[in-house]
Amino acid sequence: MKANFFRLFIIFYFIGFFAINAQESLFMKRVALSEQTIKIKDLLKKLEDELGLTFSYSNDIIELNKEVKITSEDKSLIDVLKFVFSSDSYRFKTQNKKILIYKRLNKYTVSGYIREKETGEFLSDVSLYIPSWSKGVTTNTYGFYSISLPQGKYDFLISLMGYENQSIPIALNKDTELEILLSPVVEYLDEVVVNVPGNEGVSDITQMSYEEVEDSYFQDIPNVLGEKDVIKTLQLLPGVLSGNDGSAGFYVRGGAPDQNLIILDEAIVYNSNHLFGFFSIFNGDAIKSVDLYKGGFPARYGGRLSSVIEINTKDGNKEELHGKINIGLISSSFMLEGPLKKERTSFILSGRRTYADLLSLPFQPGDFKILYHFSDINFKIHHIIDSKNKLFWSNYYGKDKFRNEYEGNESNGDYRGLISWGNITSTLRWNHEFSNKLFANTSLIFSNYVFKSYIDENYQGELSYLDLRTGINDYGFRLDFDYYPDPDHSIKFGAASIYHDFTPKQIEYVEFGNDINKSKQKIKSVESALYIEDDWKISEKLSLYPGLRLSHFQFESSGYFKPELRLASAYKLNSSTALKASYVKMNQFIHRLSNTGLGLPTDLWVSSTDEFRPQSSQQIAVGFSKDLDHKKYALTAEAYYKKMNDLIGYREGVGYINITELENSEEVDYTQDLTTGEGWAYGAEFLLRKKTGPLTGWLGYTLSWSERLFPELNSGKKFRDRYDRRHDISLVGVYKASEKITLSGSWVFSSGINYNVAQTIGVIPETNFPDTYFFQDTYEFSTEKNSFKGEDHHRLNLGIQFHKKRKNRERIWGLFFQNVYARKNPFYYYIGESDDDYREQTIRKVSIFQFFPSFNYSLKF
Amino acid sequence: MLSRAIIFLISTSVLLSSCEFDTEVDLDLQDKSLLLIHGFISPEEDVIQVEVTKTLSIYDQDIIFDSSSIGEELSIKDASVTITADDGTEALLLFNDESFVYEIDATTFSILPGKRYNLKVIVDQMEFTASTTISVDNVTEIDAEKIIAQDEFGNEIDYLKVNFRDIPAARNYYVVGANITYEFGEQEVVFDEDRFIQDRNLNSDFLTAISDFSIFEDATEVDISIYNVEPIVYQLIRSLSLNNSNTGDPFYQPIIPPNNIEGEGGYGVFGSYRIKTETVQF
Repeated sequence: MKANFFRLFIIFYFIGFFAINAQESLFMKRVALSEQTIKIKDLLKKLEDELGLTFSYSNDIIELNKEVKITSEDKSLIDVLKFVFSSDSYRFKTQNKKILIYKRLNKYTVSGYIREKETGEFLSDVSLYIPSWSKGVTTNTYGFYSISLPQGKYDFLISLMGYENQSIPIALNKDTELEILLSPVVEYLDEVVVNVPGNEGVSDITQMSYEEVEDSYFQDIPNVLGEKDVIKTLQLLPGVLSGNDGSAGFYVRGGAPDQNLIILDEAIVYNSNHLFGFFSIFNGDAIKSVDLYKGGFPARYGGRLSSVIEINTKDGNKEELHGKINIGLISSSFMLEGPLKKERTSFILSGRRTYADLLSLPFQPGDFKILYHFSDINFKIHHIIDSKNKLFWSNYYGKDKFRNEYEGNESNGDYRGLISWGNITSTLRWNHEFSNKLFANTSLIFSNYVFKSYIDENYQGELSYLDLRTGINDYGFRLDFDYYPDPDHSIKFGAASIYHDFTPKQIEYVEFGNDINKSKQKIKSVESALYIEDDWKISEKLSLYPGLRLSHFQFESSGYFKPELRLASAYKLNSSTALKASYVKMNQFIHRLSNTGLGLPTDLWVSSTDEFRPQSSQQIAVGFSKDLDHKKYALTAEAYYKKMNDLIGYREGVGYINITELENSEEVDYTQDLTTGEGWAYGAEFLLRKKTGPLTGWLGYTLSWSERLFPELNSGKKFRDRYDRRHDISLVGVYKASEKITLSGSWVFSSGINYNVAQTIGVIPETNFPDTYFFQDTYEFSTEKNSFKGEDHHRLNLGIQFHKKRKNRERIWGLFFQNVYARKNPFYYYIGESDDDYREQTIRKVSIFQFFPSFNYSLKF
Repeated sequence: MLSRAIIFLISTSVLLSSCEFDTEVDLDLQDKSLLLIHGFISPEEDVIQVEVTKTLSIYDQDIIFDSSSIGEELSIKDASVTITADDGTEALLLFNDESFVYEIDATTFSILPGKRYNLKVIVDQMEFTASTTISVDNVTEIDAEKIIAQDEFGNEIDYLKVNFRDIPAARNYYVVGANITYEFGEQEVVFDEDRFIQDRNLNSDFLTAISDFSIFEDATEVDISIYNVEPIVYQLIRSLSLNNSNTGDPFYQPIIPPNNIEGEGGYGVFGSYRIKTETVQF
């Protein structure tokens, strides 16, 4: 075999050698010409006669009647030809006794930014398509595009859902910078022409397991208490399952909430929930785009197993000052945006606060108060330094505060309790165009999450208190390049590094007037990665999206190096149908430990250590995408299989707040409470979307399984994940009936989740152990984890918004009805007394949010 | 018109909505009865006991509430229960009609540190087995003191603080207990969750438990017992305690009690422990 290979190599080598040699010999023929001025056609004829060869060329590329002045006493033929055809674009080739003269077309690059006309906002994912070449590109996150084409005349078709399409004729004879402005369309009219060739449908992109949620959806779809919520809108997509009723925790393709990478302007967000998960932290007024990846992850993302949610905030209006005030049932918000320097520097400031605490204050007793609120603020400045350089500074601050206070007198003292948790993120980004094909973004990132619990009692000047905190500080750096060598390749590469500074537990307390007790555990680690990926159009039918990510995690003296292969591919069966497949390998180096799986703030973020390896997963997915009715509709169907290794969880019965450890002066070591296992998730997802027209929305269906196996849990037997929902259906619609009215609705159905509900009664064991008295002689227990399957969950939410537009302002009244037919969905189950006979035991459920109307008033100016 | 509608909706939302609804549900449950076997042996105990009972479904209402003695109703009285030491010696445990457990006096069958013991239970020709190895180590140093603190009303209250040295070079699981002797009798000291102590760092430091409730100020002495228990026994009693105290907490995931009984339909724990007792005078 090896001998054959070498034989073939030698044959091809010599054929090539002789071919090159023959070509050289023809070109090296000597030519003698006296000084003369001669037309090119005559010169070529003369050379043919003298050298016994023929020239072959297209009349279009040579001015045959052009006269050239030439002197050649003894020059090679190739030198003569190069003199006559002096432009670099001419090429010569021999074929037997024939010489071909042809002209290579010069390539030029068109590059620039695409922006919204009214606000100057840079627009991502805009399609720029050249029909005559059947090729195109899309703008990156920062609105930049670049495409290199041969010299010529082209029509560029520019399209983005929700904006008017544009056709721009371009005569390309040099590198060109072109800034394009798009105008939003009036959405309630069915005049959006989407049948633009190249306008990207689901069958046109290589990426699979990907959804982009437009701003209009989370503005119009009603969620908990009428609040507009990005995460809850994502929960309506197939493959993204919700937790309990009202929870903002979400489970993507059988993964856990901590396996979702949530990125807000490049900063990782560690806690995405307010009010124990009923609301997400993202204020819809400040958000520009939301991208969700459930599989087929591009190599630029890493560090989580199950999903990537990239949220980008608006840059702010560069033309004029605008704002929005929103008043709702439980919270109010505002947004203000405008230019600091017209067309160059803009800002956006938005804030939100709930006021249940303020409203309830008058009804609470004077000496005892329970108060809760959450608030968040987004602030961003965008500055255009020049056409090649731009700066972004994005900030987020969010906090939940739960307080209870008791004001006593001299005899019984005061008491204060505070539980608070929240994120702070800050990102400084610099966009730089190195050339018209190479775009770079450099980011400096800070992210902070702290959970704090504080209790103090003050009696006659004596203070006793408990101050307990967990948290994480991230200091990150990213360098991302976008390189567009030609229309068939769109290459991204870069590097990222994050320094994690964890505080798994920090406790300080004074008890019984004794000395201060302190305990603090710190874990420091560095997570880094290099990546490269290429969206490669191999042919009109076949495209590949290969990627490689080299991840590294350093904890103390030991490091983990984890190469991750990513591969997605698409094959177009016809102009509207594509088959897709993907494979990804992912690693996760930091984990959230949770007793509840609900994503409560008490959950603990910790790092992989020497003992606990990073979690890892491999996922394969195959799919089918079809655009229907001129891309008004999109249909996708995907099947996936995901295997997860080295999953980390608590041992049975382990809690997080265990003050006994501190009293025992032992150094707190959370790793003693952990155990590891494996997970499997597989299923299929179907999504039919209507993308344009007065009525938009989708119908989604998920069929899925999610299982776990931990040797130290459930007697070492495989068990269903708590959120293993077999069926999940969502029907979502937004109908813009007229300029004045928007109707919206969502109906969801999902199979019940799995609980640990005690179903068996046993006799309390007789022991001599201390303090083992119970109220009864029996106890209830279950023998298998998550063995109790709860009832199915379904709910209909409806909303109506009334718009009234004036010259410079618009006001919107919104009415929202949650759980319209008052379905009592289970929040949790417990064993309790029967309604009929208090002596009988039965299973009871607690439900929340049964038919809840709410209202909302917005004023845009 | 719109403003009226809004006022109406706000009013009705207050009336129609409350946050929480508690309702009875009718769902099918697993109704497979198990054979529950529990036995905890120690060289420091006078009697070796093993409980063999059957379980019920939570829907078996009549048996649970109409029975005068649930222990008697659920106990299996005709089981064959034997414990065999690794050296081949065997003890047959007999059913006690009063306590409804199988037992044997420890003087006739010694439980020795470092030895392994195998349990065999036969019920209706079905065999259930488990084994345990008795720990060689026991706690050696114990101390206790009264500490005084003020409550929210400014009253001075006595609490009990127990210290003991961790057994070195092994990961240990302890349960702490104490009985106070005072002028009019004895009082069991309640440590609540503090009674469960895990040694985490193998560093043989002093470990501490502070009582959860006050003790009598005229207490004269205290009998302290430190139980060094096998991990599975610790997990069992802690799971029962935590499940009991967290009933009704929607965010609490009930713990599955551990099981080391082999045999189809068998469930429970056969384990061992050591006890160190010390009397401290105040």
